[in-house]
Amino acid sequence: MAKSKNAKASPDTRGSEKLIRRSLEEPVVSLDKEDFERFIALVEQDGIELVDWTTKGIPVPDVLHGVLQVRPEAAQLVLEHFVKANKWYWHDWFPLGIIDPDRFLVSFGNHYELH
Amino acid sequence: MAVPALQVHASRHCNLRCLHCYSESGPDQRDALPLDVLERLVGHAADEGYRVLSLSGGEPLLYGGSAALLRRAHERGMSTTLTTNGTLLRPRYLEPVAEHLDLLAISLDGVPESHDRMRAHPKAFELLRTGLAEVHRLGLPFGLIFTLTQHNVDELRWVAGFAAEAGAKLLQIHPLEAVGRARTELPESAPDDRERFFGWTEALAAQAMVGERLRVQLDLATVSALGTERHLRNADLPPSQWQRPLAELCAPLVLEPDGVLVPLTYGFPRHLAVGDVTREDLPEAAARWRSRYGDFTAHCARAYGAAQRAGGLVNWFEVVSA
Repeated sequence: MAKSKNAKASPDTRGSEKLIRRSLEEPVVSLDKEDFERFIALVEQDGIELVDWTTKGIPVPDVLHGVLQVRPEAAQLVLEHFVKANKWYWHDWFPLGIIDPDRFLVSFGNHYELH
Repeated sequence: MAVPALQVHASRHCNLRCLHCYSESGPDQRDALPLDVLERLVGHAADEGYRVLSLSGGEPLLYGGSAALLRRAHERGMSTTLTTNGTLLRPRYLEPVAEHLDLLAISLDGVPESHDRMRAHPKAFELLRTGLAEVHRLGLPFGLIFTLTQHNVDELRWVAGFAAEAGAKLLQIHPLEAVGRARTELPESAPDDRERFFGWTEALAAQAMVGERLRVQLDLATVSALGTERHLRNADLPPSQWQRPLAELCAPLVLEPDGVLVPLTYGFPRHLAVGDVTREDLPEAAARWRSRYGDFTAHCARAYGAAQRAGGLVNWFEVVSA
């Protein structure tokens, strides 16, 4: 059984805050060509749009941070991509649409020392 | 659509005194409903179209009539579930109920230290973990129930991993409601909008992580999804249709430990209760309740209106019982 990572976190801290803090502690993972190709394939899916991004790395980019706009029905696809690759973090899913959100702005990136 | 269920809280007797217990159960609660009353209720509920018997409590493994109730439900073609705190997964308690139990639901509130804190017992997790061997020996299908609070969404994926590794079929995520003991022991711990949204993304992430080994279910919905709720659609039913089987009008049906039957969820407003099974049988109580079914659907419509104004991700049972 895996040891839990947040054994020393205060019980009064928001769970989402602990989640974000933990993602910032993940080891640095560089993206390779296949990671970028898989990510591009993801944002070509219906309901997923890359609205802002920054790449870093010389001579070849190995870091990507940005914002996706995701429709609720595509959320599973995005999270599957992030979870299975095990190289990504996401720190916000901001809902757009009143009263029912019909899109989310998702801030994401690969684990990198920038943050 | 969910299969209509009868949820029975036969007693508030429990070996634990959990911080978030909605029924404020504990070791000093000794009252229990008589078995003959409950057996009659199960039979009548089957006649009214209920297809699932869910035993809760208190700790139903400590209620002496649980095995008989599960058997009675099977005899009437109902499927059965039993929700336990997970500290009594031993032959003495499990063997009597195993034959007629279709799903054992075990509460797990996070990583071991969080679970022990919530259960107010230093070995609650260890008892659960070791007890799973007995659950497997008896071949009992089981699921885990995780209570989402303001402070534990970061533990959800760990729980999903544990559940999948342990062979659970289902992980149900239920948001904490500020009722019962949670009101005093866990103030301001019900998840707000932000934690609910993170609960939603973490539930999706957990499902992605465990794949088809485990079904992850979150008891939250968008307001528009709530619009399909049976009790809202039934607002248009003319009184001539109120004679339908009770299960088509009101499900789940919940028996509280004092014998009062309420619609939908524990703690539902008493003025809309179906009846008291210690005073009359279900058919009589249901006949009277049907005659004022419009009051119930009007209450649901008002609750839906409040949910629409609030927006976000909503726990229907919390909204409708407020």
